[in-house]
Amino acid sequence: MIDYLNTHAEQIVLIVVIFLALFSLLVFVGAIGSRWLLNRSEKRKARIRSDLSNLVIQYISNDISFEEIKSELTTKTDYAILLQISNELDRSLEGEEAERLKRLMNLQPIRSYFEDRFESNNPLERAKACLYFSKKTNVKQTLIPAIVKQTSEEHPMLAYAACMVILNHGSEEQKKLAIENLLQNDGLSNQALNDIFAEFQANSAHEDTGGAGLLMELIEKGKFTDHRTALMIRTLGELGYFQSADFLLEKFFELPKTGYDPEITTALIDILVKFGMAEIIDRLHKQFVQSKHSEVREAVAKALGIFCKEESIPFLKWLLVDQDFYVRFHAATSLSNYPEIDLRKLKTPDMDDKEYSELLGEIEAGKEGGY
Amino acid sequence: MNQARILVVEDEEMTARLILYRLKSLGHETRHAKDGVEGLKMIKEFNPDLVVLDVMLPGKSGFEILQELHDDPGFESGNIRVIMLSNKKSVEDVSRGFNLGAMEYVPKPFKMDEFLLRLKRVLNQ
Repeated sequence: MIDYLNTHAEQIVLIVVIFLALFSLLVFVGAIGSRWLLNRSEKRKARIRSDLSNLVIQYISNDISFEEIKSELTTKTDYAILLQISNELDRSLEGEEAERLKRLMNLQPIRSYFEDRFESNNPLERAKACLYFSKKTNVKQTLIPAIVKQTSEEHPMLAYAACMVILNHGSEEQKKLAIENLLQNDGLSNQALNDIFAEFQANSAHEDTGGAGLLMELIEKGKFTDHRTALMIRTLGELGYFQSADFLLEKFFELPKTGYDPEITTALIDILVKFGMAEIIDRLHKQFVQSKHSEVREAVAKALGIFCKEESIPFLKWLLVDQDFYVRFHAATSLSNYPEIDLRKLKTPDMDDKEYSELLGEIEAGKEGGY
Repeated sequence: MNQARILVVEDEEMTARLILYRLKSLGHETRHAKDGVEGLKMIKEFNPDLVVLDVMLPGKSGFEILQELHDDPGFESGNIRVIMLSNKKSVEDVSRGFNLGAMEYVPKPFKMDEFLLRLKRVLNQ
């Protein structure tokens, strides 16, 4: 064996080198090839998108008829791209153009395309189908129970899109169930929750109280995580549901003396301040100013500056020497709302000179910028 | 003004394409910028008669563009008419836009005919 290796060493090395060279060449060609295929597919998509955009724009501008666009679409359309284009335009348009867009999206082949997508195993495909259904004027009633089920899916986009369909096409009971399912989805963002309640409000039988009533009912049930409950409280404030002020005040006073959730507490303080509920001041002074949670003390520091009561000054001064920078910052900002207070005179010897002057500078800049 | 030089600063591709299409069909000379930085550069280079300016833009907001033009001593910002376009409808935004020199504020979603009517009115002022 050793003799054989000695005799053929050069040939063996040559074979190994040739093999490695061929392998490298193969990898290189493969990489170039896949990049080329990817580029080609991207270019093809961009071309389809551009052609479709021109066509849709001409149609909604009434430069080509419905029949004309219909004949073009049935031969060469990528419906997913068409939906994308339609959604983008839908955000900006109303009136005649929006109506034309709706009519276009109601075409039979487009409808069938998305109904097929709804049967897919891929949740993203089902989400796209739901987004399409949510924009339509009518949805097959036989599909509704299956769409309600999708609202409890883990995939946040799918659950959100399915909920949007139900808000537009479901019964009052189905709407409530869809929202309740959706609220249990941990991946749902704050913005998505606001969108859902804005949509619910727009479609509600009780135009002024629908969203607020449902949110209060769900908070009262207490079956959601603290994080989600806090988000629901903030939604009440962000959507300006002033009718929930008394309910939130009650929840604020129900907070235990110890062991309260800081996220819920902060949300309650922020929203009650927004609603101008000065009844909370006393408890802010007596309890929450000394909270062990810095986010709660920060909310208190902000709140007291908005109510701007004289009796809050000592508490704000107390917060001005808090261990947390943001609490100190908001306490100082709040104190700057009192015309009789000169912040420069409030600096104590143990405060860092540089930090305090930077803090005053930031407050000054904030006020000049109108923030 | 029958034929004007109009710059559309809008990051939403389809909205921009639709506006540009309608403006071109009315005979205006148009340009498009997709973000705030490109928009500010094109305002100075293209020197348009009118700018359709979205508020929420990547890079620089519509307000920042107006503020920078206002603060630039080498630029005659008074010669350019501006229509603000935005999803925001709050009073503060509207007044902020007007204070910075915008002549019209069109909230999205909008009706295209109404938008063109406002644009014509601004061009004729």
